[in-house]
Amino acid sequence: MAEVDEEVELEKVKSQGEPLLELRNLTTIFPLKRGVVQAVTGVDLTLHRGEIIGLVGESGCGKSMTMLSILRLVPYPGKIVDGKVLYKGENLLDKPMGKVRQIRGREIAMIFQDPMTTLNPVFKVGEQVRESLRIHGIVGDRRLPWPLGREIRIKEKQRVLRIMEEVGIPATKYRYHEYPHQFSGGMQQRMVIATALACEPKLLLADEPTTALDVTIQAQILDLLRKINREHGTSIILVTHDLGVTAEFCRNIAVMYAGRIVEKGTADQVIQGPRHPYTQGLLHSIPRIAGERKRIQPIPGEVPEPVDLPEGCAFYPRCDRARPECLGSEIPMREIENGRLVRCVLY
Amino acid sequence: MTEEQSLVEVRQLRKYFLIERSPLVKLLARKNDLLVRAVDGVNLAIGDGETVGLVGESGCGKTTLGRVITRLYEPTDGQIIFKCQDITDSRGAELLKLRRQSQIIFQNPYASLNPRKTVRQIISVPLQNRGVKDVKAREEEILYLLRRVGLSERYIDSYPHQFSGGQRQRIGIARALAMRPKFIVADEPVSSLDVSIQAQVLNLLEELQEELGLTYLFIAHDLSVIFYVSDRVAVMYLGKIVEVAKTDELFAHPLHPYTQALMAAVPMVDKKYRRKRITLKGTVPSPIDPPSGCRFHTRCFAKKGKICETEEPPLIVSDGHQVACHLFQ
Repeated sequence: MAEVDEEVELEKVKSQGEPLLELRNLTTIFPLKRGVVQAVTGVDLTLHRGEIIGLVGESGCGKSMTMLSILRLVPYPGKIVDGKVLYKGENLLDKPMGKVRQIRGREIAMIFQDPMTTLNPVFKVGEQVRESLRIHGIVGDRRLPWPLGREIRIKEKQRVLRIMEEVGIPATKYRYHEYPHQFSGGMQQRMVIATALACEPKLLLADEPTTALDVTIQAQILDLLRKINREHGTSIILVTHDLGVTAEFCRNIAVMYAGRIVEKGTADQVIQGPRHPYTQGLLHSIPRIAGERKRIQPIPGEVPEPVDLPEGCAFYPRCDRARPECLGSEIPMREIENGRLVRCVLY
Repeated sequence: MTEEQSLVEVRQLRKYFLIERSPLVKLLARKNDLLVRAVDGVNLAIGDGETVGLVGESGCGKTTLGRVITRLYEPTDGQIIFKCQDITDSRGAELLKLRRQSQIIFQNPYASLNPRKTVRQIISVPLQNRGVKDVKAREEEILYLLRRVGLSERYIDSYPHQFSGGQRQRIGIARALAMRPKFIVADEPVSSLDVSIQAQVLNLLEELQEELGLTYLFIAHDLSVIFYVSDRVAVMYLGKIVEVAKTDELFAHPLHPYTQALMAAVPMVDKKYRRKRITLKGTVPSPIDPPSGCRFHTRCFAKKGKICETEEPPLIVSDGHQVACHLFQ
């Protein structure tokens, strides 16, 4: 029942108007000595309010770089050379850095993969959550003089405690004053999520939030993210390499390979009936716990390093249905059904 | 499993690590040495040609168990029996003989290969130890091993950093095979690899098993991998084995509450195989001071009562399973 309700609600939201985030032809490159690495090539993605999208792909396929490009956090020497990042209709790539900084953390927050390296080991975890509240002046102006500033600090702390409670950290009053090493991996990840949620962002970019965690903890964190999505209507882009996670957690899936999105559709469509040979290969190569054991069929070869890729399909050398027309010119994304997009000459 | 059939068997195996505090800390902070009970009384038999999957969350002692079985760690207590021989206290030549027969594939292919040695040097070491003295014969064998694990012969003089993760893991496998072992402990051999590469390595390990009659102890935290490779599965929690059963049996009817929760937590690609989610509270307690009685009682959702907190359930046979839970006593 709940699912149907959600569906209806989502449709309502969708019809209401413009999408929250829209990526258009986003292209990020890394000019290196040995050639130009095309980390992200022509990525189009649309995210509505309250939607959860899964971005799936193997390591090095550019999924994390897409996330960093949205927030303009691409490390040197990488740069965004083309495309648009429309957040609420405004292009973030045209904005001055100061404006982007106001959006980071407040409107769009990111959860990084490894909680141990995200949290600063020499600051108290509670203070680290409070930092984003202070920077964005959520509770009040941070530059106020002593008596007023102190009051604001107390209010901020109360808010941090509330958020910590919300993400499921017990004994918040004590844990506020602890350091990251005193937390377990799952608890650290909760703190990272708390940091991201502190300013109640509209959009959460979760870059492999559960990869470093055990399955039972992963289930807890995914439940938590789902709860946040329901209660606050936060949109989430979940980057992961685990097809199982996306299948259970996301409504829509985009599959990436060598910097490009090769297939898009709802989770059911993509998982039940994959169209692109890469997606099919990926689904054949994961062992499944399902009745009898089927032999897995690995995709031959290795993920190519996206250095000076030839025009055409990057999956060509590993594809079992490759044709001459796969190479030469860029393969466009084609809509084969309603909302179902595939980048392959077979369709 | 009767004794004749089992290739490797451990009985009441324990491995404790001592964290020593300096005398000053002991005196001033009144803190004593800590004892980490990584493996705490494990019984497990592995049959000839069998693959036993060992699954559990991080810190539950699965890697330690794998290393103690291959005698990379000295056991604190208990017995290890290899081919009906007690090898718990083997030394010198005897230990060397054992090392030839049991090898280990390590988890992290980036850390387990010496970055300053070429593939030729890396694989030569076990060959020399096996007594292949002739340089030509050694080279031939290295080339054979490389081909066998699916690497091109031209890589023989390359250094580890020139390979991708999957290829490195193949070198690790070639190195383990160089000893012509009977028994291989595969310690999370695919957990650091991408899905498409993971499948290649899993199939390679399976082919090698058929061809060379290997026996595996396959350690992993990924249940779907365990389901794919193992004949039998042992589930570990905080240094203890809580359930052992044939793979199909275990996945169809998990008995121990921990196994049930573990399986329910795995995100499934197929909708119809999804189980009702059982979300466990909290995290794994520390093995320094494990809970009394059943170690799972702090997170258990099916606690029977007081007995779970006071008495430790033994591993007993029930329904074709071996399970350590008071619910089935």
